[in-house]
Amino acid sequence: MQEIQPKNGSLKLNQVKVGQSVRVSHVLGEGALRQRILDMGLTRGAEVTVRKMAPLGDPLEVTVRGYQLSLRKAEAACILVE
Amino acid sequence: MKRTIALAGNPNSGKTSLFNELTGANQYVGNWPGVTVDRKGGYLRDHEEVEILDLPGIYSLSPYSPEEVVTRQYLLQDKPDMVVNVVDATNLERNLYLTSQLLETGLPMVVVLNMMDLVEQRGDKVNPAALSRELGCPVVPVSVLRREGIQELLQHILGKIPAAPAPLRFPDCVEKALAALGETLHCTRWEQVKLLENDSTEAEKLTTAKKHEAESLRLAVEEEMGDDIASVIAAGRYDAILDFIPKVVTKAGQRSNFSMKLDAVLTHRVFGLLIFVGVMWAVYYLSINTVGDWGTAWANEVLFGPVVGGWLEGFIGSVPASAESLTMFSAVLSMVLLFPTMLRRLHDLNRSGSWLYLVILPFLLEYMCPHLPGMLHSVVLYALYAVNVCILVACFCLRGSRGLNDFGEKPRRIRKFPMSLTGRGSRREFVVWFPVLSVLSFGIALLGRSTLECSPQLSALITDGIVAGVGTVLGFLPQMAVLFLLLATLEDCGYMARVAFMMDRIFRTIGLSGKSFIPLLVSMGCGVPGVMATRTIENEKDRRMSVMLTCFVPCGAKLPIIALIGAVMGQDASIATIAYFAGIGSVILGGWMLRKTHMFAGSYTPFVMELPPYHMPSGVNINVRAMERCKSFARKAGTVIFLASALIWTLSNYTWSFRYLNTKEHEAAIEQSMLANVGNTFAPLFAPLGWGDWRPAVGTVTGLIAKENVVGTFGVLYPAAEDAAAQENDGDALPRTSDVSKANALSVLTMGIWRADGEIRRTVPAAAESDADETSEQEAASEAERPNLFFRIVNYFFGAEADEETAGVAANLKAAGAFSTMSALSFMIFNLLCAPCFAACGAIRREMNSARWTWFAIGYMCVWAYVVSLLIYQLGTWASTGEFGPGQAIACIIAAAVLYMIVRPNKYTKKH
Repeated sequence: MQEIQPKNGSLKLNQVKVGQSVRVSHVLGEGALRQRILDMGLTRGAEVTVRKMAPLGDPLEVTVRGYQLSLRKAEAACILVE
Repeated sequence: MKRTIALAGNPNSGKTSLFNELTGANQYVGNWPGVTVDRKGGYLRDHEEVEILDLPGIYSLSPYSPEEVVTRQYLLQDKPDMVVNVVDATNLERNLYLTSQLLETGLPMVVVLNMMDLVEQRGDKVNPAALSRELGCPVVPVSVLRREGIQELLQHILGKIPAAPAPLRFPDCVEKALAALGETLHCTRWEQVKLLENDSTEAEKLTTAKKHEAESLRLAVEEEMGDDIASVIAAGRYDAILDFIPKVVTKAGQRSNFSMKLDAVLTHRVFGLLIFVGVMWAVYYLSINTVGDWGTAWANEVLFGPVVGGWLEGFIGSVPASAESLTMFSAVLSMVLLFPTMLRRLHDLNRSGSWLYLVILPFLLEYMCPHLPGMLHSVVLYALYAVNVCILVACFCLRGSRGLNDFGEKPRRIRKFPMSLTGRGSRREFVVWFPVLSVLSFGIALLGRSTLECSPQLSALITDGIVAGVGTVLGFLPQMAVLFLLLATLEDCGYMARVAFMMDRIFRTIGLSGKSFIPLLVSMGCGVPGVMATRTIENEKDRRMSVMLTCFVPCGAKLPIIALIGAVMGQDASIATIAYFAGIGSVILGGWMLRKTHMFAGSYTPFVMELPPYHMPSGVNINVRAMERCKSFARKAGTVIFLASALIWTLSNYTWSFRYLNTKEHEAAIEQSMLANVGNTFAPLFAPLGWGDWRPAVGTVTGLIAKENVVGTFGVLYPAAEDAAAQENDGDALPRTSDVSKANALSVLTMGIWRADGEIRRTVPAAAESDADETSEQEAASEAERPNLFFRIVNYFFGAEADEETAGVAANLKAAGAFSTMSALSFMIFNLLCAPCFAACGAIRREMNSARWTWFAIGYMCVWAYVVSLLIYQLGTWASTGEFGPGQAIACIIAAAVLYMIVRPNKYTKKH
């Protein structure tokens, strides 16, 4: 599999502001983590809304496919959105 | 006809509620082989031939988590007759993702659309018929909460098994590749998909040539879709589902719902944390300090003291038990014997929560009431009696609910065995068993006047060995019950996921996830419920690591050790601070070190976690979960503690030639016991730690029964120089340490707290009662002398202050010159960090579900304790005296090694 570089203008999910809605364009990484992210519905084209940050600023809460999901910033950084 | 039905579905889809609904209380819990994932099974109500298996809640059938692996293996190898896929109708899109994978297994399937009531509430519409057309399998709309649709589901479970449905279609190019794979390899749809995905488990079975074939097809698909295969397959599934979702679901439009509003407050930046602290305080306070502890204190000091002890003394000893103790004994025994009958009768009356009340009743009577002021006291007492009488009258007179209720079908005949805890009991049964069991318990109680005069050795073994051992286990139960009920409530209503969400930031730095917070918090009170609380951590490796680290936190029973060493060194406050920092530091450093070992490596646990909507907790679910955990604790931990305490009792009461020493009456005789001998043998091992004498070694061993035993043992082994002879003859000259050591970890904790309240009389065992006033006066004086705020706080919460007894032992230790500053410190640290008490070891065994892991955990704790103590003693000596010998050199090497272990890069971490 060839390495896919972030395209110009594409953001990582952890850089999205709270309250904004975006679309997933690509999921980086490999193995268990990537599979888990895909399984939870963060696939290409899925619409994601960033709802809030945890009180201590790390995991974020997003709405995807009609439910609430929490993921760490490091994991959100694997998800390219537009 | 015999058949096995497997329940599969996402976590929070209501799978377990449905399982409870289908099986009633007719269930068993085991473990899947090799992992600590619960294997829950049961039999269908009224159809014992149908076995129902509750598979772990999962989101996908990928091979990464143990839950997913066991589910996969079960579905593919054991092949249940039918899969019932429970789907949350409020969130079809993600729930059907698992369905799409289950369809590929080629097993017959029924889809249960659960939570239809919530769908209606929101004004949405879901069309089961349309979904059934799309999936090609029967779809049953159900609301487990309202018990709607269960009958229809039963028809499917009991009726003809439907044909296996066809799987969903992927995009054309993927389908082409799958077809090609199917042609060349002649494999099932499941295997085709997994081979194309390059799934490790399936790919192993192939020859190299076939692997290349699969590989080339995969590359072709990746080329065409411009994305890698995992992404193509996952997106393919979601797209196939999205294709038909509009035909199935009609949304009423987006409204912000109650759950969202609640969440906005509960995970708010400021209020969220405040509420969190409040909730945690309440859990800790209710289970460890108040309700649970009343029960534990009552069990330790009343039940296994004067009541059971007095009865045993009367039965096998030479003094007939007093009338008071017999009344109490008969009351308690009848309560125990009647509990199952009562519980099942209440189930018949459909009062699911009432049994809780019964459990705490004796403790309320004994403990809460004496604390209340006079008038209120009688009111509460009579109210409790009145409620109890009402329950009894209800059990005798009321008709049970006619048909099905939460606990099963209406009972038809008298069950043969009155002690069964499950199912419902009829009125007839109650009318028969109540008098029979009451008379029986009264008869057994009367045996207390028989005075059989057994040999003192036997009676000592029974009272000190067995009753003390069993008492220790049962003493934990009330606290466990309260804790588990509270935790189950938090889990069930969805708050636990938010706890993990809020705490993750802190715990991630030490390689754990937010869910480890609760076990660590509870461990401040007692390690046993702390270890048991790790159950809520889903990830297996996280759970194992939490179990290993939890016992480092200084629990209530370790406080007397801290107090003792504090008194020896004359610096209570700083010692308590050091002890807590050592405990918490060990957790943090341990987390850093263990994450980098191969055992926990690759265990980077994605914290991609669903935050389920809040909902009202269900009484039945909570009861079932809490009961289940209490039962498994009593069974597994019980056997370990029972055997271990009998062993230690034998070791400390016999010489190698099996001469009986009777250490209860001649405390100093322990010097000749096997235990002392063992201590002597192992003493040189502790010489590098600065305490190579046999006495601290024996203290450490007896500390394994319960950590507070260390102080008691020292009281015996280091008699005060001038009145050593007097003590030989008169055991009571020294405040009775054995009474204290009988009480377990938790009661010591409470003693501290109640002492701070000036309530010493209730908590000190009867033998020491005469000293009580004096002691509290002394304490008041000593407290006034210590202005240190931190210590006052620690003392208030944890009671880490030397009482008279500890102070006496400390004085003797000082007089004997047993410890230098550094060796005292190293002794304390070793005892705080090394293997926990047997009760906790039993709990670890229970949670690890593997002898190897249990020994590894205990071994790790011991080695870590040894290393830390060694470093403290050797480097401490170097710092204070300036001498540098071989010991210091070795210590430096070890320190460097530990430092390396902590800071070395994690070679298993993958960069994203």
